[in-house]
Amino acid sequence: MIDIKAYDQLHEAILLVNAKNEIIYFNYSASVYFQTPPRILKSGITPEEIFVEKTAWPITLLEEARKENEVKISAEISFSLQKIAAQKIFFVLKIVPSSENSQELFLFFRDITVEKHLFEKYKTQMKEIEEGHAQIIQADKLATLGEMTASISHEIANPLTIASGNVEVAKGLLESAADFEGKDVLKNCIENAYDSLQGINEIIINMKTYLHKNEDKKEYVDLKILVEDVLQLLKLSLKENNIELSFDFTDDEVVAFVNPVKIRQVVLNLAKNSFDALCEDRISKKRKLTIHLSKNEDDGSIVLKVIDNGSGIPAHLKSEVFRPFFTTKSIGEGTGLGLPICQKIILAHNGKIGLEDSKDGETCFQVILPGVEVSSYTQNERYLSGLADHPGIKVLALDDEPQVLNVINHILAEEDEFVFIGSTKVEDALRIIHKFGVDVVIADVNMPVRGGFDLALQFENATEAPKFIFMTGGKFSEEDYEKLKFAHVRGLVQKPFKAQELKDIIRKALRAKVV
Amino acid sequence: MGQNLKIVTEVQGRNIKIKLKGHINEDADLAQIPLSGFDQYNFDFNEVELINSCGIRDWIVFLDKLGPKSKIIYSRCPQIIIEQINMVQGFLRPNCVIESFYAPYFCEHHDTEKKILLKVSEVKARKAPKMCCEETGEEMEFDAIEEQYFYFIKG
Repeated sequence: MIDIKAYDQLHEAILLVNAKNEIIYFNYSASVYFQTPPRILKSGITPEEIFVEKTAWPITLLEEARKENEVKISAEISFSLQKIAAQKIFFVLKIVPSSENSQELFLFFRDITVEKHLFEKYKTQMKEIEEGHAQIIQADKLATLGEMTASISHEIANPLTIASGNVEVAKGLLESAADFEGKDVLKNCIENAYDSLQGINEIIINMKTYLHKNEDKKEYVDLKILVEDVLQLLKLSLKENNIELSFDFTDDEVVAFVNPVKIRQVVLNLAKNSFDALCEDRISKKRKLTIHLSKNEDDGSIVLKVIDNGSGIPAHLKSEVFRPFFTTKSIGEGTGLGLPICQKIILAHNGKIGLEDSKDGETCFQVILPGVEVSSYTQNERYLSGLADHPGIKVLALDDEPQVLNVINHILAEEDEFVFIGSTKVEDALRIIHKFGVDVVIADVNMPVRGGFDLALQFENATEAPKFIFMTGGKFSEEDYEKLKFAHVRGLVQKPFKAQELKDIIRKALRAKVV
Repeated sequence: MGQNLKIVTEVQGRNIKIKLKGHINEDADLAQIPLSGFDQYNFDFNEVELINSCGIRDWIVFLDKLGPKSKIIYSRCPQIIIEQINMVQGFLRPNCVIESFYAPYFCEHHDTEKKILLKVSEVKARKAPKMCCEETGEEMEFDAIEEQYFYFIKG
């Protein structure tokens, strides 16, 4: 005869029920497993009263066990406990008729909750790994294709040059040839061929720029031009699919201090995603892709939006779009890496990228990049903490032409003694000067709104001020020469200038008036 | 999978106080707890809601790594932790001390269960100390099996 108290030492929950299914014995583990005090278990309740759900209790199986005096094993059963309804437990029930009274049944609960959770997690994770693996293979294929594209574009360039040259010669010969029947048609054909070859050439140049591996070089870039260039790559596809492309650009200059290769990649990725979404939605109204570019007047930050009225992104997937290898496209059509890479690039530029709430079912990805001056700060971060104590010469260049800022940046980067900050607006330049105590300002005098003279005028009565060097691509007028008498003006330079000339004039400006 | 165990540490000289909140299960990352540099580890289990067999296994492995030199204090252990301490070998080590724990009581007047925070010293011969309802002053009934629940208290 087995001592029933021995069951108290087992880790498995055990109940003994009578013919009415009332609990007449429970072991210690039962109280722990069901999170139910002995007071309740011994109050004559039935097992199903321990649980929230009443429907899944295998009452028929209990009856069969009694009737047949046979051991029965249930299928997997899931219940929530009265005590902690939020947590489900899973178990398999073994029903054993008592050897003394077949109407009394021992119920052995084999808990499989952890096993079940782990199994489900394993299945989910295996699925994710398999999907990730397929995406990695696809990404690798695309990387190889990218490398091949670089080589192909190089190979195309030579015959393209020959073809363009020959068409150009043919065009010239035709111009000078006497009139003949069909000359206009032929001329038109040659012009079309020439334009098409130019189009191919532009695509090749853009592809080469896109594939260029210049990783971390930041430049002053006109974003309007960059965005338009990038969209050239999609122009034909958009036209073929009858998708309207529009640019919603601010009238202001939008110059950023960024890595142009990487920002091109971001713009192309976002635009390509929009294009794909628009292609999916063929039944929709007029399909539109809009690129918005503006500047935030408060902090000078740059806002780029890529908006489409395509198939949209379901609300439950919005938080997933930046997760690596997440894609709604089938394998071969998307890697799930585009947006995470975009995010990484933008974060590396101290910017932000996000999926914005948009109206009328539009999808809007927004990129915010710091203004050109803030980017310059960041570039000079190693000096930031003690910029005021930096022994070198802090030079701020003010010009609305990004290429001029790039040239000056490049020239001054040759010497360790210079710390360069670029600016395209008088207001922003003023903010920097007040914040960091710049030594020398090189300012263009012919800018669209306010130029170098306006900036220098702000310091006319100040005792502490940077030394100003004016520059112009045109000629200085008599009136301009009068302004050279401003208190802190130290010189002028005519564009184009030589590197050494610029460095010398900066050094001299700090010592004496050199006008 | 989401991390459902929040671990908050507070260093007081050579002692470290570690508050655990949530689920000690297969997702819990106990590696967040520093394994060296402290003489005393005080674990506060007050907000632990669940511990399962995976979590117990990880906890025991963690204690193995911690070694026998540091003093370990368990405080405010909820009923689920005490039940595991009683059932699982290795949860309570020779260098571990239970400072305080919750015990289940039942107030017949209010027909409610109450968890009362006890100190080990209050339990004599594995018998639940007498507790009264704060409102009625009536004695409450201990709501578990004393011999089993206080099994972790030696002698």
